[in-house]
Amino acid sequence: MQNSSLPEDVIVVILSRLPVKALLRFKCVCTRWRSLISSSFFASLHLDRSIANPARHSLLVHELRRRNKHMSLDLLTSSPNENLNLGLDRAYTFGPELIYAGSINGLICMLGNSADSLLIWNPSSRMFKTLPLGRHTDPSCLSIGFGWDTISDDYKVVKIGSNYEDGKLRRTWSEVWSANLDSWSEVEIDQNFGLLKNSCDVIVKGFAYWFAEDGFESDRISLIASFDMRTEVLKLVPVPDSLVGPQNDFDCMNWKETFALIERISSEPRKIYQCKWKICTEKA
Amino acid sequence: MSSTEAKKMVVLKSFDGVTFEVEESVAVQFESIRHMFEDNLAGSVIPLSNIKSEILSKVIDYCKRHADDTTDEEDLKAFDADFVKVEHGTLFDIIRAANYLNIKSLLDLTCQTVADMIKGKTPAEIRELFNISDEFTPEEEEEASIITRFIYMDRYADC
Repeated sequence: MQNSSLPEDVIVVILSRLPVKALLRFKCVCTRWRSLISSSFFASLHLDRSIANPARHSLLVHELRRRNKHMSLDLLTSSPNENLNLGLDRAYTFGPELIYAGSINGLICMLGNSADSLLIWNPSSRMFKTLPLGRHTDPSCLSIGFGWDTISDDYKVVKIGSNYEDGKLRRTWSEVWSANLDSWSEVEIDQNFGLLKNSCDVIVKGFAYWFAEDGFESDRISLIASFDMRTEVLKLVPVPDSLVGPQNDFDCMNWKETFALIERISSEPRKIYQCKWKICTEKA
Repeated sequence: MSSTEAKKMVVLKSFDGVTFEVEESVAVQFESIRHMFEDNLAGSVIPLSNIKSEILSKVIDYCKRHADDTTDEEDLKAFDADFVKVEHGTLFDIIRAANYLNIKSLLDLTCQTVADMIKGKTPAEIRELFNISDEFTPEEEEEASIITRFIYMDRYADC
């Protein structure tokens, strides 16, 4: 028995308690440690432990005024950590304006200038992954959803594109990329719809949600599109009649891990349509 | 050693032949050998052929303290903090014993101690501490040094 060697399962327990920065450094200890730290098994273990420990959480702030300027905010002490080099400068070959499409488990999905430039960035490890080209190109309007399928531990990016001709909605398509397969596959669509933003409105557990218009009356939100990251099924449900109006006086949020609609009423506190929508999206 | 008849005792024998008589209520924390004294093998000696008496006595101390319901939480924290203030060779021995006996709370405590101890160290210091021989190829070494330089570019270390 070597005096200072420890069994491998103990090494795993010790390493899973280290911050990412130390782990990156310890990839250089030996080949064994490097392959261990790089393994997906270890990544899941480290993620579980990090989620369970609020001292490990921090908020990433991106200032739009100063390009490529990021700041990390420690949530416990509220002390900003500036002058971070998070490796994103290399990603700017995609274009000067990157759009944040969503964030899960410390990963950030971003959309570059065209439909072909999508990337997933890990600010902790300073690495990023560029997604392969999809099957569809050149939509008039493109929106991105980012999600995590907890069952197969797979990260997915869903693209929804709408083609307009003379201001009229002609066709809507969708495809989904899986990190495990590193390829795109087609998503079935029952009905054309248009989206108003480049990224989904909210991510809740394994679902991404968008406000959508049906194409008959432009800019009026009448539908909610939901994409299930596990089954890869895209569904449309109508916004409650009482909410639909010319002003789109409502918004949505992740309310205790369920999808919630908030109605804007100036004089009253905001009403939250929670339960109804939880049922609509999970049961249907 | 035992003052009352009611308390069931378990006898453990270390690698260097020293025997320890431990109350069963303490020994139940040794998950991996629990079946041996629960299967009515009362009175027989359980050999722990890979744990030195010095380490076994520390581990038993720890388990006694943690089996005692009367100790309050603050005292227990202070005891734990004191318990891990040992030379790293001893700490690693305790980890191996806790791992072998499957004492989860002790393994958590000692692994966290090691994690806190190593997080600011360089790869070379880690190799020495864990007795790892440097088995990288020259290409891998070069790549490793690039990664290291890249990481050290941050002005503020967060570890």
